[in-house]
Amino acid sequence: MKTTSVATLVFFICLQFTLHAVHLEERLSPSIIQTEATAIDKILNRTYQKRNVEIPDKVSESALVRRLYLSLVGRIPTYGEINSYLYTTSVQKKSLLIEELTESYGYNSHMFNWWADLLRLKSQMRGGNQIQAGQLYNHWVKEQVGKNVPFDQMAYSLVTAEGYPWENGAVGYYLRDTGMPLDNMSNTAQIFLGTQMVCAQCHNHPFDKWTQMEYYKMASFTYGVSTRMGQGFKNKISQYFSQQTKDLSKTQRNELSNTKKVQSLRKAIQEMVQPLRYGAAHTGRKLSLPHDYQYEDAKPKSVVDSEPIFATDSLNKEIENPVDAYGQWIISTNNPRFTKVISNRMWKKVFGRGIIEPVDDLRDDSESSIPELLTHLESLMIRVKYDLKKFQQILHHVKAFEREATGRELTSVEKYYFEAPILKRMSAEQLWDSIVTLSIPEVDERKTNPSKVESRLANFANYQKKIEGLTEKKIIQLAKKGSKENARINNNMNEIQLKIREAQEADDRLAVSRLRREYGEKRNEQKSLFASLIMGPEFDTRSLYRGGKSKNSFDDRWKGYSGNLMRAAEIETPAPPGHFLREFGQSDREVIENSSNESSVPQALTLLNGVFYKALFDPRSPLSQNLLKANTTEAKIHVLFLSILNRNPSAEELSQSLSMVTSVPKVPYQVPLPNKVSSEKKKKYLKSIQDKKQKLAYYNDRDFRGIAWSLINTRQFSFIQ
Amino acid sequence: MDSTISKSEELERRHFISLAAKGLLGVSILPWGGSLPLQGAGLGLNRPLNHAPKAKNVIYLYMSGGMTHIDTFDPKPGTETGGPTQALDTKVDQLKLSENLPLLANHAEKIAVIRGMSSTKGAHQQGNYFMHTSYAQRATIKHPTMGSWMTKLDGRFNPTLPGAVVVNGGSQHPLSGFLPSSHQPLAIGDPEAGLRNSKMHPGLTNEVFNKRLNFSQKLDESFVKKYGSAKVSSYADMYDDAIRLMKSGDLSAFDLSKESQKTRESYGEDRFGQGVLLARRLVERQVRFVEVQLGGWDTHQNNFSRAPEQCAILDQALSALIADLKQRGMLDETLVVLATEFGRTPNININDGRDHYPKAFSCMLAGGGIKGGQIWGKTDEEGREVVEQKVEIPDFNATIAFALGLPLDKIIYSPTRRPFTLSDKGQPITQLI
Repeated sequence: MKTTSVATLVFFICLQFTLHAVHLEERLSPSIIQTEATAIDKILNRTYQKRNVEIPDKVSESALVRRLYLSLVGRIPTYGEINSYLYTTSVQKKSLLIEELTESYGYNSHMFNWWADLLRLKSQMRGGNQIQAGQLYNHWVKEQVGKNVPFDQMAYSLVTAEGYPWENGAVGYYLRDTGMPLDNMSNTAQIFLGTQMVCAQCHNHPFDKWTQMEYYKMASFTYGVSTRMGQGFKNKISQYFSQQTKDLSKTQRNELSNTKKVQSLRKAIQEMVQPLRYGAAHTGRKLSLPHDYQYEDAKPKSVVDSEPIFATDSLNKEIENPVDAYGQWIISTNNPRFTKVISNRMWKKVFGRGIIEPVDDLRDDSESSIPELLTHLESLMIRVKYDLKKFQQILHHVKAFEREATGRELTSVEKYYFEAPILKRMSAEQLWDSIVTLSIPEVDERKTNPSKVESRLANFANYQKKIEGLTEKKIIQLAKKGSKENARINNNMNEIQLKIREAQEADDRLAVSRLRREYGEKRNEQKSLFASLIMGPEFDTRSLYRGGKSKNSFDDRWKGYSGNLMRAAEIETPAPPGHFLREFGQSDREVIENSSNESSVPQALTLLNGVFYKALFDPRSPLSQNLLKANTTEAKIHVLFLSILNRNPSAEELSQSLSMVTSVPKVPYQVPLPNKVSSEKKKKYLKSIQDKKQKLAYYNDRDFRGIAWSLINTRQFSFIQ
Repeated sequence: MDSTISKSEELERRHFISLAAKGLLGVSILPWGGSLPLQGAGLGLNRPLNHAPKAKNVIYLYMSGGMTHIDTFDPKPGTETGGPTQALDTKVDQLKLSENLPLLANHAEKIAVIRGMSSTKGAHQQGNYFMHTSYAQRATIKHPTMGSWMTKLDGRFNPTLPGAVVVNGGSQHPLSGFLPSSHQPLAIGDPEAGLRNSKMHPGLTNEVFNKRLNFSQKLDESFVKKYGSAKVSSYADMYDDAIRLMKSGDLSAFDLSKESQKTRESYGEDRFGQGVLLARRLVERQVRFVEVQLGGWDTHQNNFSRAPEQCAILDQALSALIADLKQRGMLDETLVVLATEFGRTPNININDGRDHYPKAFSCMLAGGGIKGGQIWGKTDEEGREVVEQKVEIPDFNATIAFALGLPLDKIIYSPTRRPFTLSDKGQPITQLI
């Protein structure tokens, strides 16, 4: 990478001539990145001239570094990172930093958040929540991001997903919208084609050109995707049943199937196949128009054939499976919106505003502020083969990125010519991740234990294998056994419940809590009952659904630090209501790109009095540690400014800060020990003085923590300049 | 375009003045004529507007999981579907409650029981969402809940405290939906924990706090000057509001220890009971809408031992609330609502439980101008079908809105420019009020 090989050089020369024909290499050399960035600079410069745009100053080096960290890894730099950058003298240090950052875990974490907002990822997802499919889907997205799978491939995998969630996590894309196949199509159109069709679901679109017929034709492609699995298994069993009862009359059969015995048997079988019920299967199900279809071109309830809303020619009719054909059509370079939308979204991610706004409501008459630039970015996107990492590496080399942010308020229709990035408040994730950066060491490395999800994937696969290996007869045998056992446990539970009531009436709290525990145990036993029939008596169902008991933090590096202090991408998504992340506008993941950076009173209350300070000011936090290590008052103030605002204080700020330090430091009182005291005792004494010193040193830093509090409460901290 | 916007803003302002007057004088003194032509546009429903609403604020008790109707408000003793649950006579003829609600039975003349509830959503999340928003859950939009509609259409009465609060709402609550976050109900987990982050860090004095805050502002002077956009300055407002709240006497509304031990016990010492007590304290300070949830109603198993337990918690808190509101003279202006996503099957399953049953279930209203001692709607002898006065969920929500005098036909556009009204096409049951 650091030396330009001959091959790349040749390639680079070729590039000059056939810019649109060749794809860029595996890794981009610095010179190629620079050439690409310069091409964008040129377009922008022409625009500035034409539009008489005033060019803002270059931002300070420290502000640029902060911006790069937030933009690429989603957090502020650590004290060590900012120092090492500022002290490096290499002329290429910016490029090197961009490469280093995009190759780090932090980048993956940040990109996962981007995807999570786009795909509405939820740990507790409605479809398949019974088997915690959301977790498996999230895991899949993380894997793809980790492997830097190109955007078009990712889109294709999602839209054409098929199978069980442990076989193919991408099926989460359909499980997420279980029971709402029409909405799922609107979401696909919005995410990948930047097109809002939702109004046309019930009537012709009032503001755009889409008709209800076009909506249905488009939805028809994926209407056959069913999220209910295990249909084949069900058929197998019912066939077996009808075989067994073939000598009975229809009424006899009905009567039999309504008996309690058969009912409970049916329930037992349901329970046994429960884990195999969710996923995505491509069926041939046809979509029909609604019963109240009101237009002349077709009758209500008539079947609709699939057809794309535009670029009809690009649909490959040779592909038999409509879902696959649809997926190919979406990501085709001939699709007029797919490449445009992702290029525009990425530009917005870096510069804070799309070249076309809004980015997900493109119309035929949508105006882009710099059409030439968008066209250029589209061809660049194709040349980097939809590699979002490369694309972002190039965008971060654009000169406009280095200028002082634009703070003025832009209306949604105003044209902006990108002389600089837009001033933004950090996203909820950026803020949280920055606070965590100040609170724990090696922040990007701390992750949820992946073995938890991995063992779930393996257990599910195993379960599937086991159950598929059973004969119908064996299954029914097991179900009989299970339903009997179930009735027994149920009786037990009922008895316990009655005892609880008695104990409550007698106000015997001890007994109540003991009985409640017993009840809970029985409940677990009942939950595991059917799965253990398949997997053997030792099997704990929780290993399927929750991933067993393995601890979250599995690495000693963070021993003693709160388990909640992990980057946003590593904790439950979305965070529960009331969590710092939600308070600051993390998307609730109900609607596409639903995060917000509006200000609110609870936000101010959190920054003033929040519990996060406990972790931030903990003696072990990197912030406290770096403060302790600094010897002088001035040095400590520098530590604070560099850690929190990522810059040195001005002379005026330094003197103002000094005036905030008023308490007199305490030193432990130490007496000289007489000679006759044993050396062991002396040692002990010295050690105790040492301990005291350390505690006092932390205590003596309290005014500095006060300054830290003031810095956190500045706009400079929460805004990206 | 611009002129219509300013016109509607003007209307909203007048609306607000009229409401303020209503709040002070108890009647609406300004004519509504000005805003009438706008209402109902596009819907053509011309639903009634309550011109002299008694209800000002709402305490909304939500029974999460699907409350069994047959074992609470619609007992069917002596039938197979009724199970072992017996019925109690009350002061009101016809109005029999299940034996599981003995305390509430003493307040029968103050409550209106709606036995004709009917829904089509038989899964928890969809049912819960429908009850809270009047709209079916979609993957493309999130609709606002009643508390947010209320502050949007009717404003806040207390400028310091949040307009709406949800206690124990869980993570699936739709809250303010597509409305701006300024209408977001404040979510509270533990009612006894107070308002989160409203107290200074321990050991800080006012003096030190102010000094540090001033320092913070001083450090920001040049930044604010340079980037003086609305985005940046909204942060100043936000801090002002937060600090006003921290210093406000109203904050004590969240402090349950201000209540006597006797009162606290009367509501029940569990989380739900204390949440209901908190609701009363908040409504007392003119918080518009407080929801408290009680989970655990999903009685697929052992319904006949679990439902009585659930009812014991509900009965205690609800009857204490009604008595307390009455005693404080607040019952007339406080609408008490009891709602749930669906009922439970009349058929008793093999686990002695009842499963989900949206076709027929019960809700309850009290106070806020509701005529007490009423039964609305009727199910058949086995509690299977609504045979009289069927009430769909949007109708139920329209009734709440009507009691509050909210404009049912007022259209609010989502950011994606789609039109919505607060209870969709629901028709209020005006007879209840």
